Amino acid sequence: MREQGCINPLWPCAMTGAVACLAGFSDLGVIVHGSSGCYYYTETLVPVPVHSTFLVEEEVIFGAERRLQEVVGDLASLYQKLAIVNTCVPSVIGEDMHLFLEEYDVMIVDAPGFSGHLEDGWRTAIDTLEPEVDEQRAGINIDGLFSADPFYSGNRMEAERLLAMAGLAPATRFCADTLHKAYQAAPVTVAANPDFRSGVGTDAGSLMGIRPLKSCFSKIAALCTGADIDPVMELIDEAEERIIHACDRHLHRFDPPATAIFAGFGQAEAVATMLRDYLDAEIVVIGSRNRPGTSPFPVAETRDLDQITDLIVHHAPDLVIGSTYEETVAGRASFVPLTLPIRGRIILAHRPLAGTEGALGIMESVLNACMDTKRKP
Amino acid sequence: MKQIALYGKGGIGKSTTSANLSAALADRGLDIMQIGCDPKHDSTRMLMHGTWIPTVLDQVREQGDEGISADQVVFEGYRGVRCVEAGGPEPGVGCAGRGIIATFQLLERLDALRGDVIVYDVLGDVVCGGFAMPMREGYAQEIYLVTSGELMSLYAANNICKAIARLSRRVRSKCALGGVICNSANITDEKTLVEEFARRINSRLIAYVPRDRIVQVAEINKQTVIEYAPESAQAGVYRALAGSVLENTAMTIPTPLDMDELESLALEFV
Amino acid sequence: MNSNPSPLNLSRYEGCTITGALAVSAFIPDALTVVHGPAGCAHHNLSLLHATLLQHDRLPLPRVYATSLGEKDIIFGGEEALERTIERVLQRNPRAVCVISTCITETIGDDTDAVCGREWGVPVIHLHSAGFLGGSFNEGFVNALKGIGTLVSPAEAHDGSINIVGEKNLEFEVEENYEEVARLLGLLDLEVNVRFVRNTRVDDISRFSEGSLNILREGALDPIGRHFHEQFGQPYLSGFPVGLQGTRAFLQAIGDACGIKANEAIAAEKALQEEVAADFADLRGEVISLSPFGFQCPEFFLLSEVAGAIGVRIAPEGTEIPVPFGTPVGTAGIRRMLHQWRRFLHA
Repeated sequence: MREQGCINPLWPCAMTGAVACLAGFSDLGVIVHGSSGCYYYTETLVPVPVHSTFLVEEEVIFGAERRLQEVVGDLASLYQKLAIVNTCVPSVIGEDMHLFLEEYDVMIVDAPGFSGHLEDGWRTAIDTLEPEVDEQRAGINIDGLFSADPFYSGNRMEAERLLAMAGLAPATRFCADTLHKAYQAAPVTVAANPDFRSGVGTDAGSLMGIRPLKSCFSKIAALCTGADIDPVMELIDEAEERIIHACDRHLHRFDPPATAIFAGFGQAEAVATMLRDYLDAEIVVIGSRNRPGTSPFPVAETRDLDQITDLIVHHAPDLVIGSTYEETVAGRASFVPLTLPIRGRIILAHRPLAGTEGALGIMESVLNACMDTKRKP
Repeated sequence: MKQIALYGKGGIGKSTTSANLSAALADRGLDIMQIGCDPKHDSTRMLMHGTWIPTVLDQVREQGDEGISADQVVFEGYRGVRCVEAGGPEPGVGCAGRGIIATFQLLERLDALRGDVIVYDVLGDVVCGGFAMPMREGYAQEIYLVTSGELMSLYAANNICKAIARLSRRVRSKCALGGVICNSANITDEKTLVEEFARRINSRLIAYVPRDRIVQVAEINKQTVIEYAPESAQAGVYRALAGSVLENTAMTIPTPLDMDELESLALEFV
Repeated sequence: MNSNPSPLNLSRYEGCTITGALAVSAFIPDALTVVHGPAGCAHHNLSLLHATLLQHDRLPLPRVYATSLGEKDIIFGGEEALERTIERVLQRNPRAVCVISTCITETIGDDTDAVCGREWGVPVIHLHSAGFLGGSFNEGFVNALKGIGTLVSPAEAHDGSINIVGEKNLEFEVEENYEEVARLLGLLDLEVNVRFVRNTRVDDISRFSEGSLNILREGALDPIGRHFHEQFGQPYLSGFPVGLQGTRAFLQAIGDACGIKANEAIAAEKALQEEVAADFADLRGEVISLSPFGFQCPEFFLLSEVAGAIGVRIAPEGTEIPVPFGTPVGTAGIRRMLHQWRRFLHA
């Protein structure tokens, strides 16, 4: 039953998802069509500059044609193409923006905040973009590169590294590439972040977590003649060995942590599986920020800090994995950051969550957090 | 201060009725204000002898919020009736509903909502919350539905009853239906039909305004009938309406009909 | 209506009224806030609070409810969603509920006033924000203070009891600034009645009218100063003390407003300021230039006054020192700024 309303909603709205998606295309200018409030927030989340029409009330009442033409006119020469993302009020007004922006090369993305959550907006933006596959294109597309994800640069680098090891080049990166590459995507795609999928090409799988990684490269081998996945599989085995060894040692001294994970379902599942497989951890709950799939773990879909607090209080985990919002209510539990936002820390290195380095990094963080004697009562 | 609002299907003669009502009330020596709530801004024209007064929203657009004074948006017409037009965007752009909200906020700020009677003339299709502004607390307490005997016009009036009924459920709401005004379309048994409609929605017919050529003639001469032909029978009808409205204490919460009931009512009179 | 007579209209860029309103309502510990609109609006502002409070080492996060309107509510109206959310919020037994409206609910014409005006048992206050349709941050902030003012019970003012109005809850030095003002009031044997509003409970808010004078955080809050003057007859001062002379003038102004002789306090403060200047005598003869980053204007009066007091010259060729992001308050603020200058000069 969906109780009305939400307390301390933790997940950004669809507009944010659309903006973060499109901002990843370097030659696409993104305009937040709305007021400064919507702009300032998305601007802090997205690592590249975005623009806005900075609307005032008069433009709501009389229409935003002149203002749009002014802003689009100023920006048109700076970018290959412009994407205008509707916020709530302009989308309700429903103006025919195509008509009065005819002379410019623009795409209009109708992903207002009230239409859904972060990943819904991402999807709407991709759908509006209408990327195309070029069957002749060599290489593999890298999906799930979401610019507001703190790990997206690391994910990209790690994905490219592993593909290169298998003799494969990266084709189109969704969404961290130039615009025309979106229309020349390769036939096969891997996802660096399983929660943000473009749906382009044949899905070879996710790069997050040891098992999915193995399965993904096996599939690549089947789909791409000329791929030599042996070096990658060796690397994965080696990483797994190291994880198993470190976890074994940990279990000599410590009990496995009862763990609660709060993130997108795909990411949370990948982490939960590794913790169960290598640390024999009990996953007490996965609090999914997006619509969950079927899972062997107990899952609740929630974006509400109160509900999350209740889950933590109820299950009393030893380890909480999530965003820094969860850190504020983790109490005595150890904490590992996984999803946006991650605040109160300096992040300079391009750390991945995907690939072997990603898996090693997650397990390392978990083990260190669990060993942190300062937290023990 | 009495505040009334007229709602009804577009083209039914609301503005003509409102203007003549305001004129008739002014003839009694009362201080009257008429506010047109329609982007077409044609509510007060006959009171202003054909002048299209500047609209509130256009003025704010030009002068900015701070620079506006009451005399830039309130204009005196026939017998001192103070006229205001909210204005709004052209068709197909912007948001007229928000425009109405912004207009009310400005009139409050200018402390312009004064008088013995304020008449709100609201556009036909109340398609969003903004056009229900005149029915909010602090504004119109009495709604008058203007309709003819044509089914579509009754349908529109019936529809607006849903809004009135919903608003009346509010604990502090004082807004209710004052009555139904029939603007004749020369349909057989029209008066009886509309009377019956009014009864079935838990209200009553408060005036029957016949179709009369004098209305068009007055309009061409850019005046209300009250001004142009004060001795005419039609003027008498409007004066009687003014009297009925002033004395009206029978406010009700309407009970809207469903489509079947409405159609069968129309069938009875065909 | 906020309009755009000039293409240079800066109000476009000044942020959302919701942030301003939350900067008040989220700092009443026994009240709860509802943002009437899509979840994104509450989320955006919660994020800002999260980031800001983390930076300031201050937690926990205040609870902010959202009516979480979806497309269906936008099309068919959101008033019922608001009612259900208020009912849910009331189960937590707050002393008051603050409702903040968003641009989209004000566009579709939800009558938030009417919903708040129902008999709920506790005050449910509509803080008039309306997203960007109500202006920007400052309008949201001022309207929220006005709205919270409806919780105040009229009462006799107590001499010697001063209210602090409009502290910037999102400001880094908010507590330090308050302490400096409290210290200066103490020099005149005056006490703080109510901090309106900073971590102030509803019961304390209701005693606001017992204050005999309101000190506003800054001049932009004059509308609220006038509002309370009209309502409760309280005089007000427009701003925290800035500068050396300014701080002494602040003491004089308070003395005048309260009918107290301020000479001794002013003399004591002057002596303190001379001590501070003496502490930085090692900077005498240095040359500095002031660089504004972002949108600060080099607040020349304050900076040249302080530089003059310690024998530092301001010239374009001098060591570059950034203009402080928040204007230093009182003598303590100036002392901290001078520590920063010393660090830059000796770096």
